[in-house]
Amino acid sequence: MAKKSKKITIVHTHPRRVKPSVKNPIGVTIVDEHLRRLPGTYLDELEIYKIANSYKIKNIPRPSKNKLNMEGENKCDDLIAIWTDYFNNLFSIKPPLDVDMIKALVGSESEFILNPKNPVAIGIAQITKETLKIIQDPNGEVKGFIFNKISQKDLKNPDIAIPVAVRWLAYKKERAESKLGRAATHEEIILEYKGLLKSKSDYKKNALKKYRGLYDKLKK
Amino acid sequence: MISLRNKFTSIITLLFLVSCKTKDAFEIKVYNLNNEPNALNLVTVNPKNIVHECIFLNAEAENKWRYQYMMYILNDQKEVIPVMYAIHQEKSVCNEHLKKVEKIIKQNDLVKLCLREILKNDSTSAEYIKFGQLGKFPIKFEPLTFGSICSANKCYNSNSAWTHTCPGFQISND
Repeated sequence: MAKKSKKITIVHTHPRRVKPSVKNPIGVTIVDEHLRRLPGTYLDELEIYKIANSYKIKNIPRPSKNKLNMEGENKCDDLIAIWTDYFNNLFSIKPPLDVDMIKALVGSESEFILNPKNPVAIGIAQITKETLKIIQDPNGEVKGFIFNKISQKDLKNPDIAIPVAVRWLAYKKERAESKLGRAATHEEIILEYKGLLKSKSDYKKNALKKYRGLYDKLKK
Repeated sequence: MISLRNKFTSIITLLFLVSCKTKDAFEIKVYNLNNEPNALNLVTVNPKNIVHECIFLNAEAENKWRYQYMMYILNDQKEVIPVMYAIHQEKSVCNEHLKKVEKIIKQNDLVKLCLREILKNDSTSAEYIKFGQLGKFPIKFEPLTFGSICSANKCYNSNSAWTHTCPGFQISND
């Protein structure tokens, strides 16, 4: 998926000028050696807005419009188009993630309500607090490309929630394919996103019903 | 005189039976949505023909929160129509929804439900649902989506995400 390249650099011990104080009258402090992620290996809020605002959306695939009879069903279409294209290109995803799959996923998670009542999962894509930790962990499951300084509150904002969800779905596609030992169908990717691909639940079929219904309408 | 009394008793019995029959009523009316024919179902049913529950989906890892609200309606052909809440919910939120529905179905002889999607047969289901003393009956349809439930004087809606609902129902402002 992601090209193997250098993502972290070592910042060696160095002096830093600070405001002189009684405790530090010379105004110089020593910064210990630490690691720094290189630009292009993570996204923070500022970078997310910068990319979304300057993205050329004219020729990229867009989700189908006005097919679902749902309030606000089109409000995230641009964001879905931008971030699906961004991660498809960044990770060279083959076959690429489908914008209608992501729109149907969002509809099945929240009915396009910005923050459905849920003490565990947040926002339009129902990202859990646990997932938020994982996608920001430089040593975690998705260390190849992480987010930085994204709060739970930020996930109530679709400008942030959609890129997080698409990145998470790209990872879930990889996970599903590793579990299955073959390319995953769009329904299998969604089942993995919902934690049901390998679940023994009797309700897997029903759990996918809403997504399937929305996806079929978008593809009509 | 005795004959007249017998006739009167018969009429009273007949009226009683008819009224009991009315309370057992199941009726379904189907309406079109903009670009979806037959996608709204207005069901009138006796609450004793309804059971409902929050089902733990037993999803993996960070998805352990997922519960699915399911309602089962017994129709006049003794077949079960399943109804699901549109999205997965966390346990406490699902139970809160269940209690709101319960409040309406417990206090009334007839309730009206507005349910979404086209009612389709499901020949693959082997599941049976128990309706108390009425017995166990087979699921014969694919699930519809819960929208609203109304008694004569109270409604509970979970349809704020939609642009249309059944005639006589309102879109909630949640």
